[in-house]
Amino acid sequence: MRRNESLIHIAAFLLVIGLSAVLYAVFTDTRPGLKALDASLKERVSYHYLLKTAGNPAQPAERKVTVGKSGYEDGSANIVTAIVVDYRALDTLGEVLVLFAASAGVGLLMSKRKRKIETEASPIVTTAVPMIMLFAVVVGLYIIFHGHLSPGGGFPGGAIIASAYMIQFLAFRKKFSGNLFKILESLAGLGILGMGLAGLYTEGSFLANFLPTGELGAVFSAAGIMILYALIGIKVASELSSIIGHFIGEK
Amino acid sequence: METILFALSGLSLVMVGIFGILTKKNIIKILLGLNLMETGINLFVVAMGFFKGGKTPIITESFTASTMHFVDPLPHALVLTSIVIGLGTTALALTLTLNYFREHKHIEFRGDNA
Amino acid sequence: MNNALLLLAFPLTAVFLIPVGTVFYKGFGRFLSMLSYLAGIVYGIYLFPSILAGSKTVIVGNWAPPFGINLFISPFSLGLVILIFSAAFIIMVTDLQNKGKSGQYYLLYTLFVMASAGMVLTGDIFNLFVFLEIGGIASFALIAAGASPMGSAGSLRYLIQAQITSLSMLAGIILIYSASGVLNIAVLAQFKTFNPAFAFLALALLLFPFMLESKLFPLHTWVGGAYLGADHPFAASMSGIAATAAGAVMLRIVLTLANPQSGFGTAGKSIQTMLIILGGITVLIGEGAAFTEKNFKKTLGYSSAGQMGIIAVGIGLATKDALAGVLFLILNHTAAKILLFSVAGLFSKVSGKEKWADMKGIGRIYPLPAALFAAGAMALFGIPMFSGFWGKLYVLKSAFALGGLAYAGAGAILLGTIFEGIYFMKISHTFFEKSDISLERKHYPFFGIPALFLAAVLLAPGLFPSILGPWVQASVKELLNPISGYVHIILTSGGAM
Repeated sequence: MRRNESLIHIAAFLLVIGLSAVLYAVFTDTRPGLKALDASLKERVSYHYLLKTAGNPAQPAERKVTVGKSGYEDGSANIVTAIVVDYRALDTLGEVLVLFAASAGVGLLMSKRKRKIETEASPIVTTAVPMIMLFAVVVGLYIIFHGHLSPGGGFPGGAIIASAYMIQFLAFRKKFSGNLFKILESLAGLGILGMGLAGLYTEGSFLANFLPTGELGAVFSAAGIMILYALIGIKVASELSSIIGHFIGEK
Repeated sequence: METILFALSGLSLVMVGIFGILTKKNIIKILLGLNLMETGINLFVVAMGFFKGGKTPIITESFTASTMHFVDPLPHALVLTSIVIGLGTTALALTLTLNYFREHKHIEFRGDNA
Repeated sequence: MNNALLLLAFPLTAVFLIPVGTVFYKGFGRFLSMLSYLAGIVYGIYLFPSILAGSKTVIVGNWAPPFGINLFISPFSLGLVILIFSAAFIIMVTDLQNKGKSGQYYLLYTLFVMASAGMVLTGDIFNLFVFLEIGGIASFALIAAGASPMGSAGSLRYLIQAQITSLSMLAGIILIYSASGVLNIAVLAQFKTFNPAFAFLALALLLFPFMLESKLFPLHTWVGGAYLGADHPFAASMSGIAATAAGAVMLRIVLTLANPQSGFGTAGKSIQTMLIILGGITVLIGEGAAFTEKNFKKTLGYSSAGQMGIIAVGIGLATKDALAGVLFLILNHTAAKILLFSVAGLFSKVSGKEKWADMKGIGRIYPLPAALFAAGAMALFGIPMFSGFWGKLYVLKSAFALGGLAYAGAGAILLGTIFEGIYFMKISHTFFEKSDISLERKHYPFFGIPALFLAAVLLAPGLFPSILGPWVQASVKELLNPISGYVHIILTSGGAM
């Protein structure tokens, strides 16, 4: 048994060495042709995302992007957000569906069971938790609504709000009904789909931005991104809360 | 150079993950290996978008096409998706592990269960 | 034309409405998901004539191809999407008898169907990855939700292998992106040149998850556990829907991205050789495993691996005849596997047994299902009069015409077919054997109609191959001329309104 195990270790080690050798051979291959990292920023599609010229790539050489000016094709100052919610919005819809599938899967597979450990939280915890919760919710909302200006957005913001739900659960053992989360998830999902279909019927393309983009860098700009991120935030928060609820178990 | 170092650290995490998946029998440890692998790939993805001297791709001041020094934002967007997918998979895998434990009373892959 | 995205929006609407609806009425999930597949079929058929006249591209978010994501609606992709929706609808009909599945089951199933359709339609490699993951997560949950106690073990093994392959796909995606700066298949297909070693690595990494889903040789070890765990309807979906989608994606990537005219040229040739070798081995291993297997579901699962092996050989050959054969085989395999799994489900329900060897004489009590099983088996085996015959004939014909390595592939297909014939004959014979089995005969109205329909689907193209003619010809033409067709239409956005 023991020898068998060390044989597996040696085989696995050799496999890893072999994989590394293959990668080394590929990355140091000197034959002509494009290889990893050969595309400079100028040759990548991101170049046009950064300059906000994806809708019309043939711009004059000295394209200027000015903070505070309006009329750009996408109003988000955070380019990652612009890509996630605008340029590649279908991926984000898919991402939301992945979480949706995971939360539905956990709900489907997690059979009802009793919690084993039931201890009362100490007064220190019960006093501190409401304050921390309030803080977490405020930070979460801030991150959701500043997704177009600073790092963050619906996903991290939703996760922070779900963490507020989790600590309240640890301190007070209060659980919301699963149906509440299900309905919230569905409504937010329908909202995202509705935004997509609204784009289809106003601009002629699914998930197209049909709202004003506003001034670049202003707090209230990129209305379409803000609304979509708010919906994603609701959806992520309720999905993660429902997963947490399933993992914690019934009373 | 920095990019290669960055990419190598990601790939070495992937290798550690693969080694763990291949040698461990405990499901939780296999899932840890899977998560290590995923983190490594994510680092690798970010590394592939790194340019020396590049700034965070958030527009805080005006710039022109020639004075622009950003890292590539697209890999960041891809990694965001990848992280969320990893979270979903891990949550589901842990639920499956719990069900596996209920049926077999242990959490190891052994030869007897197909 | 961008309206064609409704093909994905119908199931999505159903997915988001199901949790709300189930709160009020428990059967809502099944009703709405079936309705959404039906809507997809009707809308697909409505679009079909105009697509047959000229393929169209659908732009998402109003960003033209290299920058945004696009879907490609062509005779090939639209035909397969209609096939996927119809397969899902028929599987749901055969499962109508079974009450007590929760709304979440139907939610996940609809997501799985939507993701498979999305994989066939999308024109962007990262979007492909996202759809793959949606389908993956839904199928992990659905396998484990089957009644079998082995469900979670099989599902976990599948999950671990599928995650490793899809992570490798992500690595392949980012390698291609860092070399070229784009993620769009059409733009990549007309790229200059790639370093051959690099191109081979990136393409192989990109294809891994689809080789896993179509159960090709080194990545087939999950099949036994997953099929054992899944219930019959979902086992049918895994071989009918997931394998169809994976085959379609392999066709698209190998023939568009790795075609000789593209920058991946030399690597594409090696990928095709690899597919012929792996496909040949898969035929032998799959049919061999099915030959020795006694469990009904596992037998059918391994036989599905064998069929996908033939399809992989056909993709590797990549000639006009071979591709026509592949299309016939995909249709034949989907219809036959749904038929066989529904018979298997019916028989294990009435007899309470899991092994086909224990179902001796059941065909004397249920003659129609057993006869339909024999028909489905004959279609998979490739008896003339069934569409499987034309599929295998075309693939073999083109393999013998090409010679060289293709001979080995053809030999493997022939040898595998012999195994296939023997075990299917053994199973069919067992059903009609004399025995002292005594079962009360019950009526299953939801079995007969869809099963007869499937048998008709298997027979019609076999007797009159010309009814599939326009579709097969248009699809083969599209797949073999990617630069003048696929790439041209997407890059000029021709047809986008």
